[in-house]
Amino acid sequence: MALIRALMLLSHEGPISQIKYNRDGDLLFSVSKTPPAMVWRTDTGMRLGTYEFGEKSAISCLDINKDTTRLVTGSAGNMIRLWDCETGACLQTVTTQTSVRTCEFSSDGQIIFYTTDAQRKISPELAILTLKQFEGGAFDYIAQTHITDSKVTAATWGPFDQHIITGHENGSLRFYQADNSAKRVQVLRNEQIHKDTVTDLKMTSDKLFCLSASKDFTAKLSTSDRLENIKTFNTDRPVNAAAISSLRNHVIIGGGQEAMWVTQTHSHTGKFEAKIFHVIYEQEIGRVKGHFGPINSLAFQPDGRGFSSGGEDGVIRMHQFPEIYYDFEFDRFKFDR
Amino acid sequence: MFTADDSEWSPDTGRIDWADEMDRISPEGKPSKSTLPDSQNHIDEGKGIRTEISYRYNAKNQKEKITRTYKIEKTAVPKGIALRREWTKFGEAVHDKDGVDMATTKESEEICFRLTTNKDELELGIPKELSGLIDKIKDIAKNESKTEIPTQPTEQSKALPGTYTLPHTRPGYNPGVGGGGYNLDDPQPAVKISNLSLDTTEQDVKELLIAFGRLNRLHMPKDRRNRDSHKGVAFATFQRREIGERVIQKLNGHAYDHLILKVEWSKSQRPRN
Repeated sequence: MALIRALMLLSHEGPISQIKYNRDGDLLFSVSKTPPAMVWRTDTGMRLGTYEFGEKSAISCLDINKDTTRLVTGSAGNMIRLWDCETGACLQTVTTQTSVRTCEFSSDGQIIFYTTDAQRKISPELAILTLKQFEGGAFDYIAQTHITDSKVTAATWGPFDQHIITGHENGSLRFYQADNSAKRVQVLRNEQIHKDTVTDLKMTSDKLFCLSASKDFTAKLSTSDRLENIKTFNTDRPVNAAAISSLRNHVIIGGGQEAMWVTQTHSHTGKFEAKIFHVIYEQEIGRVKGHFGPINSLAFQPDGRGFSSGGEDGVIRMHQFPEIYYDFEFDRFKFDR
Repeated sequence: MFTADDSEWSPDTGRIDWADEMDRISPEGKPSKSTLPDSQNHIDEGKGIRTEISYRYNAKNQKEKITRTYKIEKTAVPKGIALRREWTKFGEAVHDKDGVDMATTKESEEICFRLTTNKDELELGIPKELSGLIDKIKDIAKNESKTEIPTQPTEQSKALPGTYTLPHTRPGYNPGVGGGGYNLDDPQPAVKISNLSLDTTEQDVKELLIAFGRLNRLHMPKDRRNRDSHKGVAFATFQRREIGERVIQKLNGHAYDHLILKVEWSKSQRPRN
């Protein structure tokens, strides 16, 4: 056992919606349901800057390009914003029909996709934009399609950016691929992996597997070429966030009761800890306490030596693993006996 | 890089009681800061050590010199990170204090971190080695409560009416089960100090006992529910039995931080094989 201390980043006024490390792991970006978006230094926990929004709409997603020069955010104010990471200046905006749910840069940082929610009679949308024109002023839609059956709740680029892997409200995972000539996206594969809404979707660092978290109390690891479910991590709570270590065979899973029930229960029973699971044995091996509300977003440090969690309580907690984390060996002979 | 070594503290800096707090507000007011020398900052490039010297007044209006030494470490980082180290604060963060602002970033309380495949350990936070022992301890406790111990009136219980008697000297006082764990036949038996206030830290007890002689071991059981707190009990073993005797003689019934200490030889609760 070891005692560790987390760094608590306290500036956000609303519940944290997403946190992400940049590729080198020296900066942590965070967005919450109340603007602005923020960036933090991960070594000291110092707040480096804020990205100021004009309006007061909830920010739901963010992404950073690989060389940490551009930040993209999507908000409930029907707006995609592109930022300069260093100065905090807003370079460009794209207005969408409805509130934005997910957005992400491609590996080269030249293309982004975004998905939107359903609102009134407008069905959810999946669109891919090229960024070169985007920055110049006029942007170019590579593809734009309305998804009529089930809205996208989580999405990420697949291997080699060939397609987009999406998680849906009905629990399915899908491949969408752009059809350049028709300027549309089409479904390549549709697998019913979960029983309830998919809340988070992460790729391993080699992009061979994707980890999906769901409100059906599980997180599942699937292959990213055929969407075959290979591992299941069972918990006793709705899972809101998951992350995969690049260093060891561990995944970390966070969640808890829905925010609407939190006031009625004690923080002990709310099950707000982050759980560490062994990927291969699908067994829980550790818990990290701290949040007073459900965890909404989790991110492993790119080097796998720590992780951060952002909660409904508006706090981001940055953890560094103690020495015992690296010494731990799963008792593999237990099953042989 | 982050280690600070406070080498020149006056011995009188420590806990400040609320009573002392009142005393500090003297009629003349607080001492003016202008009489203090400026703080100094030396950097020894060769050794890679930065020394920071500052001065302040303590609670007794004495001048204190604080020397902090920092070790400067240089680490190689990727070029991208090195370039981003030069970035200055922007947006709302401009109004933050230089460096890490305590208003935005705080260190959390200590969290237990353990990796285990044992389910009990995960859910109850009980170490693997102990999870089997719990049932045994419960059995022992059950057996002990069955055998009734006749309470004998002691000398202290005949105290005059109206005078304060210590809880453990009152008639009918039942020490109950728990605590202990030391054998009186040990060459170095433990001294049990109970009725400690919850503000008392292990360091305080150490300072209290070290005056009597060489301390071998000091143990303060933690409260199982609240890990920051203890149970108000400390067990100390000394190098010689005589030291322990002197501690009991001097400290039993001694007032310490608004409570009256009870000091005795610790009794072994479980029979030794």
